[in-house]
Amino acid sequence: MKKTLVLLSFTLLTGCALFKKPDPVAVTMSFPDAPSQKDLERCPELKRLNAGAKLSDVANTVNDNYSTYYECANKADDWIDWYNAQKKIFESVK
Amino acid sequence: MILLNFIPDLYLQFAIFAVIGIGLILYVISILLAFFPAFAIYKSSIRAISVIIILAGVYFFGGYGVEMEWREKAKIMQGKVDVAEAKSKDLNSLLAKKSKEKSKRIHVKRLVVKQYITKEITKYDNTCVIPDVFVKAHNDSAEAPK
Repeated sequence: MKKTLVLLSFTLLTGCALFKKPDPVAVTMSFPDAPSQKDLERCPELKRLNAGAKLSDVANTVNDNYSTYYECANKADDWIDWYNAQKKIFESVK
Repeated sequence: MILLNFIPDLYLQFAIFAVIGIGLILYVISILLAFFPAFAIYKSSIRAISVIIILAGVYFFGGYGVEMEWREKAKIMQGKVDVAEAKSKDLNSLLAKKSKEKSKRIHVKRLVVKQYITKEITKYDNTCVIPDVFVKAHNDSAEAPK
């Protein structure tokens, strides 16, 4: 009877050891989306002046270029905020 | 082992208990055969087979415990991941809203300055001559580095 119990316990433990799964546990996680579709577009090139440009053309071109910069900076800020927040979320899953 | 992941918990449990059950039934039969002299010659072989089946069942029972523990762990982890994905989506919609508002402010400011240029700067278009060197300097600085 003792031998049978020992044999059964040994077999049980062998089963436990052989079925042991490797860590970490496999789960499905999709890559987080971009903050918005607009943020996936590259920044446009800056506008240039034509030869013989008037003062108002210069002012308009500079105005347009500054706006382009701020639009682009807005995208960069989106990605910075996105990264910091996503990192926090990712770390909370561990 | 990978195939185990596709078997539902209940079926797996049932299969293991069935194997142990069959082994025990055969063991009992091997004992009862002692009372039937005609079949007594099969007693030892049936007992040996029953012991092997019981051992196989017990072995899988040990593995079943680990399998269930792993499945529970995976379930908890998947729950956390689902919550994180939902948080991520909420965050994206919040960021998109914030970005859209800022983009709108940039656009409005651009238009306001444009109107100011049309109203005030155009007056000086004929009095102020822009030299070509200025245009070249501006265009060179506007060009992206290659």
